[in-house]
Amino acid sequence: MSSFFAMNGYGFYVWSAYGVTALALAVELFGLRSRRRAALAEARLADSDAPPVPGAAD
Amino acid sequence: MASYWFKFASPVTFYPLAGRLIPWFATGAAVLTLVGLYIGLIAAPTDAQQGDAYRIIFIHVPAAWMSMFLYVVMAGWSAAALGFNTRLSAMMAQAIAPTGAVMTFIALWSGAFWGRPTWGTYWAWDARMTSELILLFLYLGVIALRNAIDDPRRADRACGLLALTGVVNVPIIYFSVHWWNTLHQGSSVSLTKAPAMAAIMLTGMLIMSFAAWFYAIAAILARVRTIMLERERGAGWVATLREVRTA
Repeated sequence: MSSFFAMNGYGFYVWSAYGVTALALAVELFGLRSRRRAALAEARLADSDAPPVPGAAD
Repeated sequence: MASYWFKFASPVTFYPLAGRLIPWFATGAAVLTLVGLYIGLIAAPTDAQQGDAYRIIFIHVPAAWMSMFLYVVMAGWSAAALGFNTRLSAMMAQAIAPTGAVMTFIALWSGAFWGRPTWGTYWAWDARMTSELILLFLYLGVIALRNAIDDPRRADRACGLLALTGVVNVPIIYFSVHWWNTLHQGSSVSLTKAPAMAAIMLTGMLIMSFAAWFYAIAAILARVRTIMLERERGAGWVATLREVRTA
């Protein structure tokens, strides 16, 4: 197992490349989630500001 | 037939369609990534010349391909938005830019950590690397320009023009290794020549490329849905969405 992480001496380069790739994708996905939550919250506010839509209230 | 497809050019119909597609592409991306990582990090043998440093190819080449391809797609949607003035086209172009920037960053970063052990340097101002760095600045420029303009329709036109102007950079990246004497090597995969690498390495790289495709589609569809919520917040169809009505 430790030889797997050592990558025959290239471990630093291989895992720097793979690790930062995983980090970059995680940052993008986290950003997508928080942006969606913010947009939904804004949409709910806009909805409550607007005059009631006929038929939409139940 | 044409009207059937134009139906999906409206956010009202595209929003739920994208929502149904996302889980399939996200699951596909996860499965392909696991298979690709298994092949790339475990099954594929150590390279005779580069040792295990070559394993960076399994993220570097797919990310570099996606970075260029997404730019062309973004420019295509921008052209459609400028030409036909369709809302969804401009939103698609807007949704692609951040994922394109992430792919470009990954290509540059993984390239640097591949270049250091094989060429002795993280960075060189050669034509391939410099033009890929310009691609990153084009993506970031489109995003920054969007944020600098308050009126979405004006931002659509300005970003569309910038995206279309910058598309000349893509063939420069692609052909740079032929046009100039670069430190960067030539193409790893060619449609006209027999593959220069072992079949298992090529298989791993192609599976990781499909994983990058599926990831990018899922991320872009998720972002375009959020952009629709942001830009059509006051519209009736947004107010009737279940996720808007239930907190």
